[in-house]
Amino acid sequence: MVEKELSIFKRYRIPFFAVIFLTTALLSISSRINNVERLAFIDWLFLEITFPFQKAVTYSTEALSDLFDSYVLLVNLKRENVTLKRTVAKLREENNFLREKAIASERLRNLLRFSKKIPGTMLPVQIIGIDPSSWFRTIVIDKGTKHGVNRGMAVVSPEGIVGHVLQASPHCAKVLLITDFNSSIDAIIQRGRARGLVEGNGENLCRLKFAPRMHDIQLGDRVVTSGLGGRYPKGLVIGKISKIKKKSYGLFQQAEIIPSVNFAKLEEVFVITETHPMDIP
Amino acid sequence: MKKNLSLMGLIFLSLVVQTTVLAELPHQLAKPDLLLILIVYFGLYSSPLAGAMLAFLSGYMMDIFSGSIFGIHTFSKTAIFFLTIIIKDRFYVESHLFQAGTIFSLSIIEGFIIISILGLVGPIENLLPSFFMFIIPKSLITGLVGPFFIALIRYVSLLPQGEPIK
Repeated sequence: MVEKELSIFKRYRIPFFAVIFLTTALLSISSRINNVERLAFIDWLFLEITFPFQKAVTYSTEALSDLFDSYVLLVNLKRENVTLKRTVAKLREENNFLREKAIASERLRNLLRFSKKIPGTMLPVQIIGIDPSSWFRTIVIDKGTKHGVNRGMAVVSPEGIVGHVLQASPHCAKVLLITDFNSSIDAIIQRGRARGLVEGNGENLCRLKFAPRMHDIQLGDRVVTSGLGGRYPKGLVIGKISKIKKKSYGLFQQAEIIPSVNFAKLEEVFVITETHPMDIP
Repeated sequence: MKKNLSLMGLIFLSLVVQTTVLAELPHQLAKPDLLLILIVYFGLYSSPLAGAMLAFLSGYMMDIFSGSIFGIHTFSKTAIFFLTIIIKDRFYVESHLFQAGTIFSLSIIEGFIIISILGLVGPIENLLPSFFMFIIPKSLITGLVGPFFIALIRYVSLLPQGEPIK
């Protein structure tokens, strides 16, 4: 009898295992579906165990790459290029800030006074890992809750907005990029002040949705954060309009945005750990 | 036990390489899915229970480092493992060409599984272009790299018996 039962089990063991494992995986999906930002203990443990290895491999790869670039190919040009790129990025950000400030000042005349440039305290962080799947756009950074990085904080670079902290463990955190299809940001077209919602399209682009049809949007228009929602400070650059989709009917128009940040070349970013909402009358 | 621990180490190593070295390659370049190749390897050369557990673990670890819905890779990778077992029982799997074709097909199937799950929980119109732009080149490169990676694992004798289990 026992032998017969064992033989039945042996015969159907693969379908049996398949049902058990696939059901467990489906239950895992269903249990987390409404709480994407929750970090379970086991996830936290895996992130913490993997983090030093990722950091070591990233640093070694970068060191090797730098060694090759700096000493074999172009000894001084590379260093100069890096300095110049940093200066250009800094000036670009400064220029954008001034432009935004000028437009706001003109529009609101003397009612609006900005007190600070970018409101908040910024923490520089290094990228140590990138999403292993082709579907989602996340990165892992080398600072976590022990350094003051918490869920929901905005992540920026001198070129513009990068994303926000999705999950954080003590020494590292996962950042959802603005190009991920789960990301959505309230935004404004800098020139025409049209409002809309910027969503990632899962590739390296974003999409502007729910922008009223009557507003004038043109190719090359700069899209910035509106500051609504409290996650991102106002006026941070998201990208430029590259394609406009305006149908002959409907209330809204759509547009494609090329993010100002080159995600393929990101190395160092900043987490805004403390924000002070702007004083808009 | 020792063998399974070595394979867990290999999963860990593949994940670290995938999230660092491979991720650093230019965006336009298709990158192989090392974990998928490992799962096909588990399907071909390990026992159903150990292989299923390792496939489940691979998917779970991938979910930890990935955004969006948790469990999506756990499900897809486990499903790929059981599909490999079905294929193994019906075909001669030792040929490199067959392995390449199998890995390519399974990678495409995994794409379908992921997009189907995403479709069940929300709109996917933004993701459909990605399927053709990224998944097919990724599947091709994974298929090409797969037989070499499998041969390498067998060469370093992580599984000394190395014969397909019927």
